[in-house]
Amino acid sequence: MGNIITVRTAELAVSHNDDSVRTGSIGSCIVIVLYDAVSKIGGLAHSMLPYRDEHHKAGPNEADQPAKFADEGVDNLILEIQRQGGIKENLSAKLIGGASMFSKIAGGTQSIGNRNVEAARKRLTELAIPIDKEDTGGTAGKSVVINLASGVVQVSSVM
Amino acid sequence: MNLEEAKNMQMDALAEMANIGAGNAATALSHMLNKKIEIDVPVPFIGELVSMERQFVESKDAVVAVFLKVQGDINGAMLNLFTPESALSFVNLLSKKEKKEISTLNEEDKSTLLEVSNILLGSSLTAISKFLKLNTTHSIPDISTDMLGAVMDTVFLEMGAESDHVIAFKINLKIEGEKIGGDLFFLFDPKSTDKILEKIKIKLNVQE
Repeated sequence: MGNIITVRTAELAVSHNDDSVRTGSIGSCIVIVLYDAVSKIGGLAHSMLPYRDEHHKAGPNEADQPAKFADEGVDNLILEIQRQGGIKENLSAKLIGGASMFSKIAGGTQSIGNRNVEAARKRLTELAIPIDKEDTGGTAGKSVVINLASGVVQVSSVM
Repeated sequence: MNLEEAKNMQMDALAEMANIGAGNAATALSHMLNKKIEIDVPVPFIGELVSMERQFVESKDAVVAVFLKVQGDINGAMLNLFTPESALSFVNLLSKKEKKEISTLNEEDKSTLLEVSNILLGSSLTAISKFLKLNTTHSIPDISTDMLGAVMDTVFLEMGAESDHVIAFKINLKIEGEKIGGDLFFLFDPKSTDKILEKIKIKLNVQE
């Protein structure tokens, strides 16, 4: 059995072999899963916000927050996969999250969840990485785990 | 007075404000149920958005959450959290039902919980606004049953979209002698917190 690596909010993790990478409590956050099916190297990033803007300048504690923003999360996840021997051209993506748990108050296209999904999609498209599956939007919180030997991604929710 | 003392004083003032809000909610609940209500001391959640979120990221327990946004002179949000058991008890107590499973709650039961929270959160906000002489309104409430971590994710991000810091107070209310209760969360953005502290200062000067 491989290790199970748990990713906290604003973090990312990459591994291979029999390892799994998981993260939980995805509400409006967006989780970007990238997998190189040839080398079987991959991982995920758990991002909170779409882009860095005037409200979110670089802070002193950002060393352990490589995936705070969805666009930078995609970039940093790719860098880490490449560092461990994965090939960018082999990558395919899955997106999970971006829900609006309280859709009556904070729903619609301008919701933070939706903007997170859009930001991740946009960055992946710019980098020509295909998105082969999405489980985004809706009103349910989710957890996600990727098994790196098989590349299988499991998404679960409570209700 | 050093910076740390000043900070502590501000925290005390904010916690006191949260207490006033929760006290009114408890009175409202007490009238509603004709029972005594116990209030805990406010627990502060103050700090960076990321670290606040990380406190809850592994909280997979299901909660029933009612959320509303506060607008007007201050921007914030209020949240009422029930464990599934408490949510069921409230529904059973108020509508004379005997439901045993959270999955059996229908639209009518959810609207019962929405109304309970609307009264609790509304009376809290009214008390806080009156105390600080602020004009506030709130959105309609919305309800969600989900993992605590995912709920807090959404709540913090709603507050954190325009700031990297979160200021929140959690207060537990419990019906005396029973296991039924809930948490009230009051959240404010940093700008509103400054305004609240300013108002508290004025208030204290007037009373001196």
